[in-house]
Amino acid sequence: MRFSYTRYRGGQAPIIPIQVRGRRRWHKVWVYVDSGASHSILRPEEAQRLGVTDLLPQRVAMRSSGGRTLAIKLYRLAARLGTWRGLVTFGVPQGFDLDFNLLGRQDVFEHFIISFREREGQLTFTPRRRARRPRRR
Amino acid sequence: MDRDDRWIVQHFDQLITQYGGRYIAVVRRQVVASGPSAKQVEDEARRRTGAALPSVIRIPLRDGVLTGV
Repeated sequence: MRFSYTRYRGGQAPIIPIQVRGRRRWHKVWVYVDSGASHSILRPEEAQRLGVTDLLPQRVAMRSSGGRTLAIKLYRLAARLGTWRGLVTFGVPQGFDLDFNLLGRQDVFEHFIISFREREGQLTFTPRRRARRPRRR
Repeated sequence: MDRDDRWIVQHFDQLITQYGGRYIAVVRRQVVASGPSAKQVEDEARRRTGAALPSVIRIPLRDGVLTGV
């Protein structure tokens, strides 16, 4: 799958659409593909759009940053990227916000070979082949 | 990416000028709803156009700071 970078502030950024299953239906969600982020993040407004905030979070993670303790509710949601489908853990920050939703490494990057082609302004996701099970004799 | 997604990518700078700080919904290469609430924008886009999967995106402010985790 090939995505064009989005032109942004005189430059370009890997902001792409994926699909995420909310409480009732699938939604298109734009995410900043961030190879430096361990987890994926949904902005609180987007989590509300998907109806996710009505669900019980899988757990609440606490992170320290700049002397503050930040809470992030974690939800495990079905996601689609091209023909790939899988469960992805999304964090929804409590009490702080981001400019974009983030697509981080966990649950996603392991399924693809991902190329950030900055010069061409393109991002490609090549699905990895599943390892074959050894045949029983 | 479908046509609406490509349209957003190609017109992002213009969208920042016009809709910075708001959510928009794009259907058939047109902005069909905008506002501060992502849910209301998506609901309005579905109601107006009948689209099953409108492309909803928050447009950043031109002078905002790009932040991550």
